[in-house]
Amino acid sequence: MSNIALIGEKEVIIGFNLIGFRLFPVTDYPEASKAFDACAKGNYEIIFITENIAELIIDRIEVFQRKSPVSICILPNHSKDSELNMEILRKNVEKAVGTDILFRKEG
Amino acid sequence: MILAVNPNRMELLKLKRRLELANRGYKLLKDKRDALIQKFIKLVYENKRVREEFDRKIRERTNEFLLATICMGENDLNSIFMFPQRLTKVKTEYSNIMSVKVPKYQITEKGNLFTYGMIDTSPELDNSLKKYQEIAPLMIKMAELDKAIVLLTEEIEKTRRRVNALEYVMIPNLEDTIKFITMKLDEMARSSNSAIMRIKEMIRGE
Repeated sequence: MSNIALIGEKEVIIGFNLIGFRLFPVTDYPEASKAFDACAKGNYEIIFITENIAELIIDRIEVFQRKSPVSICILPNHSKDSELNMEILRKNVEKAVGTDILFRKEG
Repeated sequence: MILAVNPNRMELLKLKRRLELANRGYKLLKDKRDALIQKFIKLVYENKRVREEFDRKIRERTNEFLLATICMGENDLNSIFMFPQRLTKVKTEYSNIMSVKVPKYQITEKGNLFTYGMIDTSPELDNSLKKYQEIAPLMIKMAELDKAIVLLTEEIEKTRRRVNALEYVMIPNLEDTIKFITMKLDEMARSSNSAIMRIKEMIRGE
């Protein structure tokens, strides 16, 4: 079995099924939470989550990313720019460097 | 702040040794922090670049895929994707960035990608699947960079807190205490000197 998991809306992630990732199709918060638990307990190295679903369980993702050796990656939405990812990146940069060097607005 | 110690030579020696150690540790940790931040910034820019590239590509792919599957019914779609033969796995190795263990993923793929019949499916579906497969390594790279950034952030925060504790608390406290003990010892020497002188005068006066 693959050690890469993918949580997201079925119509978005189904294409990855034939590539050989393990899919967890979900639509709402309880399902997402359950799928995330299953992934966390399973023997996965990388968990991908689509942005819409990640927004629902972002607190748990952040804690899990810090505590466990498993890598969690948020996939961008296909219809808009990935804001959640950039937000997380910006937060990390601010925490590490003390200032926002990436998206600093001039003036 | 002066530490709660007895002002004697023994303590003075001990504190001097501790100060030396603290200074050495401070310099080392400061270097570590600077090196970590340098590496971190490099990773952040790389992450941003990879992510933008991925954003662009996944949007194209998903749209193509949705277009390719738009005419198919739910059941057809399910039957196509029911039995994947291909298996994509990652092997994890750890590389060491300033004592932070950062994962490096090696992707291994085996098995056949196309496991559905040709009659009910369109060539667009084949193309979009092939392209999905092409962006898989980019996804893995993104996951790797995401994790590295989180790990480095934690380590930088920890190191910075240590550097600050040494710079603003530990070293000044030790210096203050050493100064206090030195002054106290000098004072004791002076007072015993003057006492001896007084006694000498008294003896001479008799």
